[in-house]
Amino acid sequence: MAAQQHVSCGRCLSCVPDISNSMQLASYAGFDFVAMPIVHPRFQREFVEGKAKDRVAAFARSDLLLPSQDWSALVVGKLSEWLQVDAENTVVRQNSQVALMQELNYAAHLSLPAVLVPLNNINCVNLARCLYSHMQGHSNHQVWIHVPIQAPGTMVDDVVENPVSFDETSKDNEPWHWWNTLRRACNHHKRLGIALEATLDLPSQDVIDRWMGEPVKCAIFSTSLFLTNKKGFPVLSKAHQSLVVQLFRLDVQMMIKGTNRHPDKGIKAYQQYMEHLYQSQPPLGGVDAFAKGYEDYLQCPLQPLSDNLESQTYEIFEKDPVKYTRYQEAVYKALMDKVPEAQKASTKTIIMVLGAGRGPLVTASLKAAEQAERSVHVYAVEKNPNAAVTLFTLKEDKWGDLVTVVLTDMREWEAPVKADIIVSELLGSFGDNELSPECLDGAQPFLKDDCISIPCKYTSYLSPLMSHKLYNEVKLCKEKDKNPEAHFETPYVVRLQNVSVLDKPQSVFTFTHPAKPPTDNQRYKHLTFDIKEDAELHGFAGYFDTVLYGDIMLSTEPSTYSEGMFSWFPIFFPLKTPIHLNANSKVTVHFWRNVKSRNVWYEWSLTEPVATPIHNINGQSYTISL
Amino acid sequence: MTSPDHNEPGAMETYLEAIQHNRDGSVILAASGLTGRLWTGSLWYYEDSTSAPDVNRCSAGVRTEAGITDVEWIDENRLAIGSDTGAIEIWQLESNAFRNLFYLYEHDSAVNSVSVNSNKTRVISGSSDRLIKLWDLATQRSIGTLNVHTAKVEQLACSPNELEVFVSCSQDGSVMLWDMRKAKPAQRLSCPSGLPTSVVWKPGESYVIAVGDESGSITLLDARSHQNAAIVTSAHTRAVHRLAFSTKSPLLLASVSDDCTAAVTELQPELKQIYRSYAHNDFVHGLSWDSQSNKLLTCGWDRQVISHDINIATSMAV
Repeated sequence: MAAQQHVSCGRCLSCVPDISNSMQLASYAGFDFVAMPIVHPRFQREFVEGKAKDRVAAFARSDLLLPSQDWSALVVGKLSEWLQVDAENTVVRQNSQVALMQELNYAAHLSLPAVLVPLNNINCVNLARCLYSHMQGHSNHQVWIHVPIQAPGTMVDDVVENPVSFDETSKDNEPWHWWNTLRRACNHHKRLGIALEATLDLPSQDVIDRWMGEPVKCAIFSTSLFLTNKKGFPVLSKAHQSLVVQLFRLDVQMMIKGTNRHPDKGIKAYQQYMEHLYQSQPPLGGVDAFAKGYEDYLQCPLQPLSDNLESQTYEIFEKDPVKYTRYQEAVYKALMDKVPEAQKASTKTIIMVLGAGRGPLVTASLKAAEQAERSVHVYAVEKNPNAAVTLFTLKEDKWGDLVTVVLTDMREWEAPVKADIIVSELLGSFGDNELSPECLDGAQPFLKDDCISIPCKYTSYLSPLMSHKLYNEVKLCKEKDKNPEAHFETPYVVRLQNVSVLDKPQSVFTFTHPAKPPTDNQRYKHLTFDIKEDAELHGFAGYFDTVLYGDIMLSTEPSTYSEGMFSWFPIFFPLKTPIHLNANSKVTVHFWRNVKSRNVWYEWSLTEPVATPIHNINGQSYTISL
Repeated sequence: MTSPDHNEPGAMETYLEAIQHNRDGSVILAASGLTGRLWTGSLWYYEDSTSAPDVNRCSAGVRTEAGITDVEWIDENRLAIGSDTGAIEIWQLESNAFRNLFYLYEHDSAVNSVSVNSNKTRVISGSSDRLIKLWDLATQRSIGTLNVHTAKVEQLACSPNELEVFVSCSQDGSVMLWDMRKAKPAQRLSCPSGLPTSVVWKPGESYVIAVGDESGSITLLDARSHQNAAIVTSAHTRAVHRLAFSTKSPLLLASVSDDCTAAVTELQPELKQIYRSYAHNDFVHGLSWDSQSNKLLTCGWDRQVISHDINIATSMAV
């Protein structure tokens, strides 16, 4: 997926007297699509009783007014704002409900890509029921819940003598809670999205960050939020600009609503400003560029031990600009420490690269030796016969006698000598999840007593995560022969984007090498996280860091991330059921690493705020084969 | 702005939203197209009110860009209208032709109500964008924006006596009394009924208002002693769209509603409904009393204008 060249920006209209004219004007001004009422905003209907029930009139505009491809590509339908599906008044509720379904069905008839549903307060359960029922039926359009980022009640002028006390901190007054109530009632439906309207005052960064874990599809900016620059053009404040940039990262579509407040510049000036902000983003670098198109895309973790990697996979990982440089530094330091200057002429260090693949660590080791002016012999041990083809070729063409290529599984190898240094890259996104501990244990017999292992230590980390998107991605992974819950008992490698990390990572399992026998690679740990804001918990993000040697590290843990490295995306451990979290509460998660003779697997469960069943008991849904 | 002939509408849209008597007994009628291909509006002037809504007998007519929600006479020949476009439009009648004086586009959504203050210098407007705006007619500019309501503003009404005083009501459930002379000009009135949909001042008494709500109730309030709100009556079975006190007999309060009826309530000696008309076949949205008689005109979504003779003596029989 290539990066989009332009921002997608729509025009949100409240009044459309002539639909073709409005479409033309919007298109002329550079807008990509238009949001407009499907039914005249004031056209109330009566369905319960009385003469108005017998009114004979088309309730909406004819589908003939636009070509069907325009309806289905260019028009977002706005539901009428008078609909009060959750009104106390029975008649109002009944009329609203029928009218709502009428509008939703007409939107489906027109094949609109999305409808915009206003959500103004927390009383939305009946609305949720109507929407959920509709989405389960014959319709394909998205349902964008239109919420302000901050409740209108927080931003009224202080001009009322006897104001009703408005409690900003009450859940009832937080738009995220309105959305969450509706979303939970709709069972996290995959076609639910958010149209987030920016407000003059913006909430705290914590609250904004929480929205970034939600399926924001569209961001609405009113012309009233724009300031005027020296040349008379509309511009946004720094705070609003920063919000726009954060929203761009989620690939949301923008929408401009409201009357033109810069009439001399034309309404297109607002679209042009959004485009300007879009183009002013710094170009993607490092891991961002590499990961473009993989955002929130679930991948099954590699199992290089049981499956041989493919050429392409090797190629991608060999391009990492950071990883092999660090390995080279680590081998260099290890050689310098191991062989004093005085003995360098007389000592030959035995380096064994365990899992040599197509040879990048061999190359790094040889470079390090040359740099350190230490003499070495490298054993390149690889079990994959396809990769060994390249190793043998490299030996012939480049390495010569410095390297011995050994085609075998390191756990079965009867080495002719013992190693001074072993170098391996067996780590997965969660550190030990590609079975580095088991593999390196298998190498124990041919290590000298003072053997150095590069890496010598690695630690996994976990953070609680909210992501409506990832939850739905997992839910979509249905397979015929599998237990429907199996996909929630499987970790995924994923480039996290539409997520909100709810607390900083904590360390889980640590392994050190060479391990002192008897080794035990089973682990259990429980972690307690502090939750600041109300949120939904959908799972855990996993990272790792590793000490290669001395102070040379690699890390995917966000606070210590090795800048520019792209070999690993985080791992995601889902939960079967989203868990609601209250502000200032705790989440306690339990993690097991279990080992049997043929495989290894993780199990996980919560005990706070509620106890959940243990996920993946006995590795019933997911194991890593030895 | 353009020649009157050019803008003369051929047909009247179905949905009649507002009707207002001028002092001389002529009337203005506002229509909206809410269905069909075009959602335009039109204004119709009848020197003889009994001719409404006959297109062929109108004295003047003009097409507007979008539907009209509300209309009020500023003086003998100027009108303020609220538009679905979000504009306040000021029109003038000149030798039986409409001339647009100016449009003011500031609201982001439909203007649901306009009201002219008692010395005809200002218009206030309330919109679905939740805002109230104050407009100065002489400078043709907005002179204030009031951001207090948290849902659409349904209606507002300037005090007939006090220049700086008006009331507003909103779908957020509140009725506000405004006095722009005060540092904190708004005062929330406690209103015992449901979501307010309409509000009107009682002539002659400076602080009595009537509020209609979405369930069809009408409440009388003394805005100064808002502790003990007055009497509630169940006048309609659907939202009360507009209310109007008779200028001739201020004890007569007319109401029109989405229950397709028009009603008149007598305030004294007791609050009592004395008249109900079932003549309309759809929502009734506009009403106006003739200033000279107790004749009430109503208009609705059935494209009818109905004249009701409210005679207290005869109406007792209803």
